Parts: sequence; structure tokens; C-alpha cells
Amino acid sequence: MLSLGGGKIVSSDGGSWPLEEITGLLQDGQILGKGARGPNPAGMRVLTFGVQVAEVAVDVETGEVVVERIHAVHDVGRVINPLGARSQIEGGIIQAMGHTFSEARLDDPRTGSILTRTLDAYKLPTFADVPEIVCELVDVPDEHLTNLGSKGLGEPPIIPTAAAIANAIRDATGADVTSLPITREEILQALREARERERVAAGTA
Amino acid sequence: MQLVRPSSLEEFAALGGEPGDQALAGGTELVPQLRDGLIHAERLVQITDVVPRGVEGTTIGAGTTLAELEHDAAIPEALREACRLAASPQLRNMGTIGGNLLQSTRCWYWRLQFPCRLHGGDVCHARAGQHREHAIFANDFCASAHPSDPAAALLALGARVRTDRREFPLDVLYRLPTADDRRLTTLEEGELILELEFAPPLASVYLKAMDRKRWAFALVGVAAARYEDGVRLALAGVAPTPWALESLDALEAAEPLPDNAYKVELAQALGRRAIASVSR
Ligand SMILES: Cc1cc2nc3c(=O)[nH]c(=O)nc-3n(C[C@H](O)[C@H](O)[C@H](O)COP(=O)(O)OP(=O)(O)OC[C@H]3O[C@@H](n4cnc5c(N)ncnc54)[C@H](O)[C@@H]3O)c2cc1C
Ligand code: SF4
Repeated sequence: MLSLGGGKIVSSDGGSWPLEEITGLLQDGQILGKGARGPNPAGMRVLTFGVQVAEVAVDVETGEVVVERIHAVHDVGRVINPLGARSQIEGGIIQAMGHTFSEARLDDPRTGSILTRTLDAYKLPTFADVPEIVCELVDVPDEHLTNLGSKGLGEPPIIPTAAAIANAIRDATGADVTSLPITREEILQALREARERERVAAGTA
Repeated sequence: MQLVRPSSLEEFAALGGEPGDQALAGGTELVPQLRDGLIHAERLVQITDVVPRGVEGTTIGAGTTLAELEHDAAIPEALREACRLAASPQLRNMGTIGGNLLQSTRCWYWRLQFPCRLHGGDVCHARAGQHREHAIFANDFCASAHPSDPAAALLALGARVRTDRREFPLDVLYRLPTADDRRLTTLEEGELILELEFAPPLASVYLKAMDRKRWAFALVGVAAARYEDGVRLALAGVAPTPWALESLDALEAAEPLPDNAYKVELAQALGRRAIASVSR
């Protein structure tokens, strides 16, 4: 039996060849591999686990929020392609930056016509909106699952992002934002309410 | 549609203006409007070789691109920053300052050709509908918000406009639309902006609030320029035209619509900062 590791092809009887030496001999030839992922186990739900933490800076006069960093740690079982998995997390977080801050579909209340039909009206995040993203993958195969021991990673980075950011905003300022996107009007209103709560609390103390 | 490219002001004049003419500079506003059927043209007159380009002392050729202004150390900071924060690098490389001053509103109703007042109809759909990005001053007839950042900067910088026919202060270029005359500028048919002249300030700044960090029109933009006799303020995104403010107290006269009162708060915060920044 042959196995692949550390840039070498290793045989069970002790032989070992550097990968580039073997692929060099291939010239125009190709190596094709086939693999299969078994079915999900019956009677068991496949759940992924993860945690995301947002660090934000809030300008309390203009309502501008800068997301400085997002930490994402996900347990998706065995990680098959680390680069792909990381990109999936980064992409999910960037996508979430959009619905958290700037993407809003506005309809005309009288005609029902969608007004934000163009990319200058419907605002996707730009590179300038992307925070530093620190991601870590637990990478422990889940033995209850398929033969690969791996799980999906499409939605997990998207879902907690807005909540983490909203909680970070509250932690920083006391402002409670409860709807998306967190626009300037939304956050200025929430900041006003937080100041009011504080004033009332100070008065009754 | 025909495209002509006169090689001088004389050749441009010799063409003789016709009703179906549209002047074409960088085309970043004109071409999308043609494509969307917002305007029609029989003949596009490319004015690249007609309108001066570049900066000389305090004079800016109307054909100078936003990218050129953004990078020119001789340009006051307010205008450089207004250009830097406008649009995207691609658009700033193509878009000229002349075209920027004459861009149309981004009001979604107007862009989607709702039969609103600015299109000659008898209602303002934004006032009763979606207007979070709209005007907080002079919004009675049409609540559109002027989208140009450089216009606010140039207004604070006391700019004058020279056309192929006359010369006037920048605020005269703009007018509020009325039932009798829906136009937002006072430029005559076929009149070309050739140059802009600014008054060099002691200090100047432009601050802009947007829905995202780059490539968005101003929710509110504030330009401040300090001169011997005081600080001049002008705003983008708050009225159908670029809006000069006597002082921040004048913000109390704003008449926001139900969903855009936050713009008053933004203007106050940015205004205070802009004044502090040029007064240091
Ligand atoms: C997606 C997008 C985002 C943008 N974001 C911003 C922003 O954030 N801030 C901002 O300020 N601007 C923004 N802009 C506007 C952009 O800066 C303008 O489109 C550009 O400056 C127009 O210049 P142009 O040379 O391309 O004009 P053109 O498209 O060629 O012309 C525009 C209009 O001006 C007329 N015109 C042009 N030059 C002259 C002249 N010298 N004399 C008389 N008439 C003339 C034309 O006939 C036409 O009616 C944005 C534009 C787009 C498309
Ligand atoms: S704000 Fe002006 S452009 Fe927009 S719908 Fe009203 S009248 Fe039309």
C-alpha cells in the first residue's frame, strides 16, 4: 500500500519517494483519483458548532461603526481543504457584513415596486468594509458521521456575524440594535434610547 | 445616434447647437442615462478637446478628472478629499469635474422613471414613500438630494464658474425646481462649463457619511473652508442643490421627512468636526 504525506509517497514496506520526483516522471500524464462520501447516518442530525466574536469601534456622534476584527472558530469535523474552508469562513463573514450594515431592499409602499435595483442603490460591502478576519478550525473528525467525518461550512460563518456585531455595539455603547441593517438612523436612534435609559436610571438612583 | 468630436472651442461653436445634442465628457453619468432611456440624444458632442483640462494656479479646467484633482497638491484639501471619497477609482479616472457638477439626482423614483414632479408629473413619490436618502432642506416640491461631493467643496471654496458665454458664482449654477420650471441648473441649452476658479482658503476639509466605507453617495457631506473673515460651510446630500450654510445654527431650520431626521444629527456632528478641524 502507498500513502502520501510530508511531500513524499511512502510504501508500506518502507520505501519513500519525493513527490516531485514521481510527478516529474509523469510528464504529460495525469493522476486521477476517485473518492466517495458515504451517506449521512440515519437517526442523527448533523450539527456544526462554532463561535464568533466581533470587535467594533462606534462613533457615538455619527453612528459610524467600524468592525475592527472578527474571530471565528468552527468545528466542522475533519477539514478536507483548509484553504477552501478558510475562504468559506471569510466569504461568509463578508457576506454577513452586507446584511448587517448596508444591504436593504426598499419597496415603494404604494406600488410595491422595488426601488433598490442597482448596485449603487443596493449596497454590497466593498473591500474597505471588510474587517480583519481571524479564523480557526477545530479539525477533529466527527466519528458519528460519514466516512469522512466532516460537516458543512456554508452557513455557520454567516449566521452569528450580525448578532456578534450587535452585541459588541451594545457592549461598547449600551445601544440596543434589534433590526438589520444597522444603518446610521438605526444606530443613532438606539444610542439616543441608551442615553435616555441611563438618564432615567441616574435619576431614580 | 451620431458622435462628433470637435477639436477646439471654435469648431464646437461652428457645429451650431441642435436640440438633440448632448455634451459628452467622461460619459460616466451620460451613458448610463442614455442606456436607461432617461435622456435621448440625436448627436453626442464629445467635448474632451474643447474643454480645458488641468489645474493652473486657482483655475481648474472643467475637463479635469476627479482622479487628477484628488492627487494634485495645489488643490485645497476639501476638494481633494471630496474627490477621493466620491465614486470608485475607475469612475474617478473617467469622470470630469464639469460632469460631476452637472450629474442628476440619484432619487430612485427619478432613476426608475416614476412620473414624479422632476419628470414633469404632479407628485413627489419620495415624500410619501422611501426617502431616507432624501433632502432635509427645500424638499417641498422635490425632495431629491444633491449627490455631488465636489460641488459642496467648491461651494465652500467660493468657486466661480466660467462658461463659453459668461461667468458667475457656483451657487448661481443651481436652482430649486418649481412647477413652472423643473430644471435644477441654470445652464442654457448648449452652454459649456469651461473653468472653475476657487478662492484659496487658509484651511479646508470635507467629511462624508456613507452607508458603507467607500463607493457610496453621501448621506451627508460637509465641506468647511476657513478664510480671513470666517469659515464657510456647504453640504452635499441635504437639498436638491448643493447647500451653503451660514452656520451650524442654520440646521435648526431643516425640515426633515419622517425617515431622514437622522441627517440633521449627522450634519451637526460632521459640521462641528469640520469647523474644529479648519480652526486648529
Ligand atoms: C456608480 C456611481 C457612483 C458615483 N458616486 C459618486 C459620489 O460618491 N460622489 C460624487 O460626487 N459623484 C459620484 N458619482 C458621479 C460621478 O462623479 C460623475 O458621474 C462624473 O463626475 C461625471 O463626469 P463625466 O465627465 O463622466 O460626465 P458625463 O457623463 O460625460 O456628463 C454628465 C453630464 O454633464 C454634462 N457635461 C459634462 N461636462 C460638461 C461641461 N464641461 N459643460 C457642460 N455640460 C457638461 C453632460 O452633457 C451630461 O449631461 C458616481 C457615479 C456613478 C456612476
Ligand atoms: S424627490 Fe424629486 S426626483 Fe424624487 S420622486 Fe420626488 S420629485 Fe421626483
